[in-house]
Amino acid sequence: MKHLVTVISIVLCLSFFVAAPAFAAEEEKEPIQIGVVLPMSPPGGYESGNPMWWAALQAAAEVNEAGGLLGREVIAVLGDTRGVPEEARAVTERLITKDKVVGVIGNYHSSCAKAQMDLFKDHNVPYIGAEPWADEITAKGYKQVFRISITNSLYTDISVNWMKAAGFKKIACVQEITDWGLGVNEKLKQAWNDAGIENESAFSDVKTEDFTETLARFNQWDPPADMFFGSVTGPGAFRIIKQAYDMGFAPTPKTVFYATNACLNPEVWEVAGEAAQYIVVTQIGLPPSAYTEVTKKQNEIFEKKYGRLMNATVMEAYDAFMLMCEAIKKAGSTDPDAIVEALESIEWTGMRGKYYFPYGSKNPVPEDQPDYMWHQWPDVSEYLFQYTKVGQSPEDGTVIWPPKWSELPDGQYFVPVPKK
Amino acid sequence: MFSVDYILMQGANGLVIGCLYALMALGLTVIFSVLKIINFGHGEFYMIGGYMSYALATLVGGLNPFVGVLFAIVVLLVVGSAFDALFLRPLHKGIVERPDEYAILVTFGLSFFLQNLMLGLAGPFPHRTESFLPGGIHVGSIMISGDRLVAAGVALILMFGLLLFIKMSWTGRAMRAVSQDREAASVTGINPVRTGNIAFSIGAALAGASGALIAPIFSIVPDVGVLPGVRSFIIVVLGGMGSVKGAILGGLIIGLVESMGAALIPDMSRALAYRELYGLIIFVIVLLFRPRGLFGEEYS
Repeated sequence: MKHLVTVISIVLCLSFFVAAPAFAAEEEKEPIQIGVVLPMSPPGGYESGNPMWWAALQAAAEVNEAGGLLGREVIAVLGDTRGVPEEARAVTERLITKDKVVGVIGNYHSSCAKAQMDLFKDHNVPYIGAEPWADEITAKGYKQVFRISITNSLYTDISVNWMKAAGFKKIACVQEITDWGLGVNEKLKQAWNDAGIENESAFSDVKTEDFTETLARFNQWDPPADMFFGSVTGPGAFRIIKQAYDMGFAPTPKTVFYATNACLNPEVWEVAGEAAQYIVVTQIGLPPSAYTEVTKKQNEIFEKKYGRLMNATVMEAYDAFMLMCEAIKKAGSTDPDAIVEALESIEWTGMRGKYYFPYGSKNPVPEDQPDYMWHQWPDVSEYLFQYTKVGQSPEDGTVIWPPKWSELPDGQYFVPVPKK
Repeated sequence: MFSVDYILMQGANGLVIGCLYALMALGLTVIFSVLKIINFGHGEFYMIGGYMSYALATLVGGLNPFVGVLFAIVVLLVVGSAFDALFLRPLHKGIVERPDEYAILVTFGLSFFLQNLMLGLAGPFPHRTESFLPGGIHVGSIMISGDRLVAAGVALILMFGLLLFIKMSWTGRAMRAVSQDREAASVTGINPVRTGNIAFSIGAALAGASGALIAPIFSIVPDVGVLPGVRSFIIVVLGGMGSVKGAILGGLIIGLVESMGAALIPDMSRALAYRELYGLIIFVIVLLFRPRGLFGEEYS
């Protein structure tokens, strides 16, 4: 009996050693999970979050069609932040601890990214910010945090340079109260004051439906404002255009309407109609004339599947996901330190240009550069265009700034024909 | 500092928008007065109303937008009736152990369900229905948006119609009877369950009508009803829980106060940001001196 027990034990031990590599191989084949944190449902920014998620799925599908990553399938795991910082933190914690994601990309709201940053640091999980603009996100200098979107400071520089070139002297602004809004307004006010441009800002809640009283107040100005900056995102971005136009405030021959990139969505025409003709819109990306091969190809796939073109925000989600995959490929493993190292030295061309991060652990941010340049893609482009026809696609709008891409000279823009 | 025309225009705008607030709050008050529950999904009925009007306009091109409003009212009558029959009947029959908590949970659930349902069905992007009357209307020296004026006019007609219905019709009287004393009403032959179902349907339809009327003005998204829903509670409490005339007057007061606050507060940077706060200040002041609201009954 004792002999039999010994034989069985030996057989069991041997079978373990024979089977172990097979189990290990099976584990190796487990999919690589990448977290995608976006607002997908109310209350915040879901009209942007949903198409960004579609773009991330498109990127994952492309990687898998090409054989996966390190021989394994890639899965995009969604974390719905709902645009609420505390929820953003909770879903990120779930992605890291339960879903065991090897990296995270995304975010539309700076407040959400700020709430998550310590988690990336504490759990040592690489993160690529797709659309959070607050300077502080990269300025903190966290090893794991990278960003490919614009920053509030960079955005302000480019926009205000156009306003100066266009010769504006008096600007009225409605600014939404969010982390992004307050941060960008602080920079804008500073830049306007430095440029000697008279300005006044009225702040609004993100859920504001009716802007008429404030617009009517601005409309009382004599002389009138040269430019009205409707710095509002979400559905409010369209409402404010219609309300300003119905009141005869902007866009008019006297007052230019400068809108946020929310107006890149085609629904601007459905909601604002002819009021959106002649508005000036910011696009944080390349103009059609500078599109890369990747931009053209991916836009075509996206349009075929979802019936709409990608705007720059959506492209950011695709690029961020692909960039994370490229870093994993370059690192040859899912080890977080190896991924961070690979990102610091990466060079990859996506939909919005060639990505690289000049400042990081091996090359710290020099004294003459702002802190937010840490792990920040420096070539993020912004251009301004004007819708010149009702129902026009952003790709067909007239590029008015910066001079290297502008179709009009010296900051000029189209002036609407007066309403009868 | 401000011209008389400017002040008149803002006042008119506040009253016009107040009519729409009142219509929505009236729906909530009808439900509360008969069923003694607060419908936390009221804002979502408003949202569904907007989407129904939009859906019909999309399916049948070139449709008169008023038909969309009528369609929204009919759909919400059915939705309201079905919801009451499916989820609130246990409440009427007294088979729920903790009816107040049950009503809160089930209407909250309805709110989340409808928001996410519409997000799935209609997508995340905003939509707007065709204008009732494009451009502005000049009344003397002031100008008001045509859409707002028409929407307020229709809201007034609907409110007047409801008042007549409650006062003159047998069903309206039954609703009043049930709202006063459910048991006594049933002794006289009124079916309180059926009356409650009618009240809930009418309340939902009024919210739906507000949503359809506001759709050309503010556009619609899945969470468009959240703010109006909260505002309706404030109006109903301000006017007095269950008071029809309180809901109407409360709506007009809140509309006027919000508009005049945003228009006249000297610090322009904050005037718009605190738009909803002005109504709340009036609400707190009224409750401090008159806890039962403007026309509410005193509880013994």
